[in-house]
Amino acid sequence: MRAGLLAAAWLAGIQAQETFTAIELDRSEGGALYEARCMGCHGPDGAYGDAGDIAARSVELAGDDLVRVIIGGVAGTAMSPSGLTAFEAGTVAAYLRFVASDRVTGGDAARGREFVSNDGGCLDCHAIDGVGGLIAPDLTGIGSRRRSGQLRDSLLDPNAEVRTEYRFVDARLRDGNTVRGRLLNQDTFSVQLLSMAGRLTAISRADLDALEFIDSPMPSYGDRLTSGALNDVVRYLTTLRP
Amino acid sequence: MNRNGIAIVLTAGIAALACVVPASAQITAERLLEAADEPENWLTYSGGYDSLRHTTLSGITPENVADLRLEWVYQVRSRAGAAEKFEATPLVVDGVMYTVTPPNDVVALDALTGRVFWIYSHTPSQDARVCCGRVNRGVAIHGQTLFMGTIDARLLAIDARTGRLKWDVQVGDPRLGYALTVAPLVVKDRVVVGPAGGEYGIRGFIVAYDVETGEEAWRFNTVPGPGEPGNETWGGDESWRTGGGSIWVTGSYDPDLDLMYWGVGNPGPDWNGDSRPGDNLYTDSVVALDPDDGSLQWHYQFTPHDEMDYDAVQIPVLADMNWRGEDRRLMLWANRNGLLYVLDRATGEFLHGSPFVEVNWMDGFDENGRPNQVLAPSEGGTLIMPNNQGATNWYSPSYSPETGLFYIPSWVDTFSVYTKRPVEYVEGQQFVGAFPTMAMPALGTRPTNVRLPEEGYGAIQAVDPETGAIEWMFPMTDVTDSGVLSTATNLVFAGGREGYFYGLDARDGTMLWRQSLGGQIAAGPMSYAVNGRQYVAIAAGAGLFVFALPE
Repeated sequence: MRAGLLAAAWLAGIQAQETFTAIELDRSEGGALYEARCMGCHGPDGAYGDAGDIAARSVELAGDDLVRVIIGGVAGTAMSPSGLTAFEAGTVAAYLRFVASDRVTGGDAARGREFVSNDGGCLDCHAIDGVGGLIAPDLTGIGSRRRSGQLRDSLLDPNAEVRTEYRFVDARLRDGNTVRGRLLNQDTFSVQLLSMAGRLTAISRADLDALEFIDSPMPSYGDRLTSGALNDVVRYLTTLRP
Repeated sequence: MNRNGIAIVLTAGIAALACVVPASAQITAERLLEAADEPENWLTYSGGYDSLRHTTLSGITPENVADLRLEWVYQVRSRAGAAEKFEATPLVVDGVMYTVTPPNDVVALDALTGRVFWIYSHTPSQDARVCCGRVNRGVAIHGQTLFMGTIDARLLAIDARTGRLKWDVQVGDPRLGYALTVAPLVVKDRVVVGPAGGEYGIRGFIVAYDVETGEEAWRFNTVPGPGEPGNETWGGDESWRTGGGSIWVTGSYDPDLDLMYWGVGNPGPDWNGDSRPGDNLYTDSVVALDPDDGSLQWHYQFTPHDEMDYDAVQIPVLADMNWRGEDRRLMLWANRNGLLYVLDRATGEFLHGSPFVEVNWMDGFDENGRPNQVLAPSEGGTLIMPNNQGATNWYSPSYSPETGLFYIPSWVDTFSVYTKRPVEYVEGQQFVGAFPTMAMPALGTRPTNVRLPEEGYGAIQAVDPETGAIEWMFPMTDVTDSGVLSTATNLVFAGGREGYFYGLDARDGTMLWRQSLGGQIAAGPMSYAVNGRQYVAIAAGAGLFVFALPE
């Protein structure tokens, strides 16, 4: 039945090589380390608390000095030695510099709040402090989890970064109907999702014509917001802390 | 009446009765050799020395498999989370089932009802180090003695009647990462094991102990030292001392050739070979040893100078068939590196190699079977197929002499991005390099699956060993760590991470029966009979499930 398939595929020369630059890798590794070890005190933009703006200072400090601080901590403060290796600390340093270059500055949080709560339509899908929709990521405390640059990117291009637990699908049924929702689980015989209407829905694959992963249902706000208004919204979201 | 029909009369003075051991209860070396003659029993990890994982019991057929129903369940007493997978294949000897629940509890059950005769519980030392869960793949039996390896690197001999410890030996130092997870292999009067720990910079070996006394009989170093052949393939600064070469899945034995075969694990450090230039024998190889003295008779290396963690720790399947016009004694090997191999098991001659999933790290073989490697880990990261966990792994494939097909539990369309980073050896710590990316979790720890189709999926694939062609594929949304059992009646039993256990038609992969067991299947199915009635057993999640047709 499938005899010869292997040979054909092999001869076609499968060479799906992708290479990532060292900088991109450092950023992502450094970002993961930063999220796990540093973000709790310093915040996603490196601007929380007594330490002040460490992202801005990372740009000013010489590389070795910054790595030394990341590894050894700062005597007399709450920052104790991190136990990171020199290599790991280097990736965190690279990440901090990237954060500094990618931040959103300015913006009026009160104006941003007005837009999010009313004309923006955001709370149709997102919730903040228990108010709003169920289908999209909960934005309560989002300012403590996401960099301002990430929030800006998601507003301009919602598909730029979609966490795996927020993938949306269209379940096209054999009876002609389509159920759209957030995918919760799937296996060889069934699919489980939260429908756009907020209902837990299980579908047997025997009833399913096709399951299609779709782009995020969130519209881009690039055309609806001036760059100033965009900064307002981002500023407001960064103020949301638990 | 007990199982053997001997009346136990509770009368004072009949002391002699208690000492009578029915002859059928002794597992002699002869019975192990002729295991195929007693299909109602399952005497070794793979069901027999040829490791076909095939039953000739004929009660369950494609016509009646849909009537299979659950007979009993045994639930593990210790916590069995995702990292303490229940990986053991039970043995059945004359109505008594012996298995191991994680991490190191040996349990003797009535194979008819699942009720406990005894439990021997070994508490591993705090020094134990494992990379991938506190697991154990089962016991071996010889005479009236069971053998189990422990995660703190001890080999225990336990009386099969009473569960009492007879002897134990320390096989390696757990503080340096040595552990035993393999189900031992008994050949003649020796019990053979090897250590896990390829992620800890161990120096691997295969070791044989006397079944009666636990005295070491011989040792074969899977990573040769100075003066031992193959040591010249370890360049750098004494890289052989931390060369890896672990052993963690049971080997096979050909009594006519008198050769014992074992698959050897990855070299260390896993993901950066710069400190160990050379082919790094005998990592990622099959070695054929003389069972009397452990001397090497031949070897074949699947992945020279491996930097992708492609352990050759798979079951050597010893199949005899008419292969391309000639009757041959073959070894079938579905390797973690994505290639299916056919070797002559008498000489180690490479006869055939072809991919059974998409493979991009090599693009062909030379006439000696050496792969031509085209991709390797790099500082910038390289996308390599199959992924780090492999196209298949330690879980058992099956060969059916009836269909002539080789059944491979597979991970399809997977990839990892491998990045080269500096590595330093620190005693007792992982000695690996930078972890490659994996689109799917290596150990199945998440309860929900929201992966995209292009991130990979699982399947049972039926391959023609003459051509390498895939005759049929049974796909599953999630991947599988399940072994495969084939039957002479043309069924294939297998499962996967979703916890479904399937009965498929061995000829075309049609699903004839399935049962949701609610926990990942990370063990091999087996079959046995009691009083002429056939059972199929499989570990899933935290339970051992046994099925049979209604009486």
